[in-house]
Amino acid sequence: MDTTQTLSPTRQRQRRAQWRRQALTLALLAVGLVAPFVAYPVFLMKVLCFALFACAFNLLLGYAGLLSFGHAAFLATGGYVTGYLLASYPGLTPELGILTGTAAAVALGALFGVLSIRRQGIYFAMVTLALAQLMFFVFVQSPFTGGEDGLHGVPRGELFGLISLNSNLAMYYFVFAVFLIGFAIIQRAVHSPFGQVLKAIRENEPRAVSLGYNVDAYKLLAFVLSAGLAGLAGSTKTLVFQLASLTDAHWHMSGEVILMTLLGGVGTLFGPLVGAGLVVSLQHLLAQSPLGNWVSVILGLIFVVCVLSFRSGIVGEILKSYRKNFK
Amino acid sequence: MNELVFFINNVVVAGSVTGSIYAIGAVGVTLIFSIMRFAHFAHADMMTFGALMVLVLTTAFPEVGGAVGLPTAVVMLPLAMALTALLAVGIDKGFYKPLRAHGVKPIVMVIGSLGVALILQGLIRLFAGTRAQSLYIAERKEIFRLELPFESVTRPIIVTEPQVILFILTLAAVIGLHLFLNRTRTGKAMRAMSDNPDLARASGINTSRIVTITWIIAGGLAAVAGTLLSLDVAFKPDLSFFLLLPIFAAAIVGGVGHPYGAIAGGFVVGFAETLAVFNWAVLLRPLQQHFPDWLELPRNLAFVGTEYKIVVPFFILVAILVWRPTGIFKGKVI
Repeated sequence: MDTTQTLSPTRQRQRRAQWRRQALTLALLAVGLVAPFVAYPVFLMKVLCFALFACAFNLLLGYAGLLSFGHAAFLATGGYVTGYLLASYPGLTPELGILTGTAAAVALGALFGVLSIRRQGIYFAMVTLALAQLMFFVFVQSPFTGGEDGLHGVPRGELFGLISLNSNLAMYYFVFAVFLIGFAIIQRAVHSPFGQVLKAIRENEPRAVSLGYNVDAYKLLAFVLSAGLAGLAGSTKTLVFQLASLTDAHWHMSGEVILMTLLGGVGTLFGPLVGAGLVVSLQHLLAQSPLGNWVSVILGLIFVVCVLSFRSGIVGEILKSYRKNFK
Repeated sequence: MNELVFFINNVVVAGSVTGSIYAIGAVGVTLIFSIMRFAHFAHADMMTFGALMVLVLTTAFPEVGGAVGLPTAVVMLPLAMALTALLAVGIDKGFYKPLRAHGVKPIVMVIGSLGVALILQGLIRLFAGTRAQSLYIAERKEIFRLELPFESVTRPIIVTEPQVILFILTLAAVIGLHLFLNRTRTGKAMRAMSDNPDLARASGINTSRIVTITWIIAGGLAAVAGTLLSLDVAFKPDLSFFLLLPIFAAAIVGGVGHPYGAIAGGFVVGFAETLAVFNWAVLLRPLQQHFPDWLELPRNLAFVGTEYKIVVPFFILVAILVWRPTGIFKGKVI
């Protein structure tokens, strides 16, 4: 007897969704493995780093319903800590540098989370923004960040002390692996009971409280997880470009990650990936064209258009029309 | 007594200047919040826009001020206010109004205003470059030195011309706002709508007109605040970066939705900034003889270094949101 007939319709749908997700992930994997032979690896690495950053942000906005306005702080903390360690201790291997950077972002995330998690909506956004601005000035003034100049010439080193990362291809596969690990963590978190509780909190917080969930603890965990993954993205980015600068800590970066997530689709797994790819490509194209000075204006316009008529984002709209036409 | 003059110059004058600018900005933020229920992240960029308009007009007609006896920038201010108000109403009609009609969540409006902020900032940088420019083009900044009639005082209290103008304009704005909110029909309708929009609509108040008027007031005040700041120091395209969080801090400290609270909040934040970086050793030094011998005054006794001045409002913002989000005057909680 065919097993699908014995399953309930809901279960069947879940099966199908799972199958689709796996197929998409496999396709993504295949594309990722072939990509460096088609496109410029450094550009792809930039996309992957920002995609991880946007996915981390989306975990918070899309699944816990918390708009953090200060995620640049985590990206920059990861980047600066990794950059500083690798530049000043030549014996350190890159993976240890990245892990330390991520740990620093986790610690900062825990601190920010404890301070901000009890506020909602705009107030939450504002606390995180203010804290991130504080960090910006800490980075400007601290001696270890190189101030306005930033950190330069961070060595890529040898992975596990064995594989040299100086070739862009080797670096690319390392970044791709880091991205996959981060993405897998997010996917696992979203589809776990933990993720379901987060969604419940997003939809109806008082109800989640009355069901006996410790809402603050769940939100804090989501915040710390998101901060850590943002730090991971920042650390990896520092390794790729061999520099860490104040751009990463500026509030524009926090705005850009909101745009990436919004453009791709808030609360969809692949949306931030698409959004990050588009925004990074756009910046890349604009930087070379005569419209180079218009980047901020154009990004703002996309923002406005997205908010005005396109609120579920590209992936969100595709999913919507798919559901309408095939169900 | 010279120490007291030093205190007045560095804290009282400087604090009032910063406080006035924050207060005028925060009033706009708080009015927009109380009528439309969202935090307007592009407000600081509207301030910069207003200042830019003054700069453009002053550059075009640098001699006008001389004929009236005021700095040209001040003469051009009403025109810049009108232009900024027009911009604010235009943005609302084109963008915020359709969003409100969709009934989106306040957080989506905030994200939208972030886009507006990026556009404005980008445009301002395109047209004004990145360097600082003085609004005094054809004339010079006058500096008034008030000698105090005491024998022990040798140093004067220093106030510059733009600072005097700033105090006068702030006072005028506060009194004007007070009269408008309490004496006019429109002002009363505005307060009604801030208390309960549905009830206001049901009792026949034209709420879309109130929204437009709110944007006109907020835009006009934003132009004033931006211009006053640029007059006092200089016009910079990235002004908004240093204004946004302080004015939000001021609005929240004063209790969001309270215009008077926002004014008080502006001065609280302004004075907190100057008090935090003030070198208290100067004031304490005359009392040195009364201290026990083991207590030596350090040369510099400020709470934070001058380079961290800008961080003070961020601290206030975080502290007030964490421990008392209603502000000192019991504002609304979003």
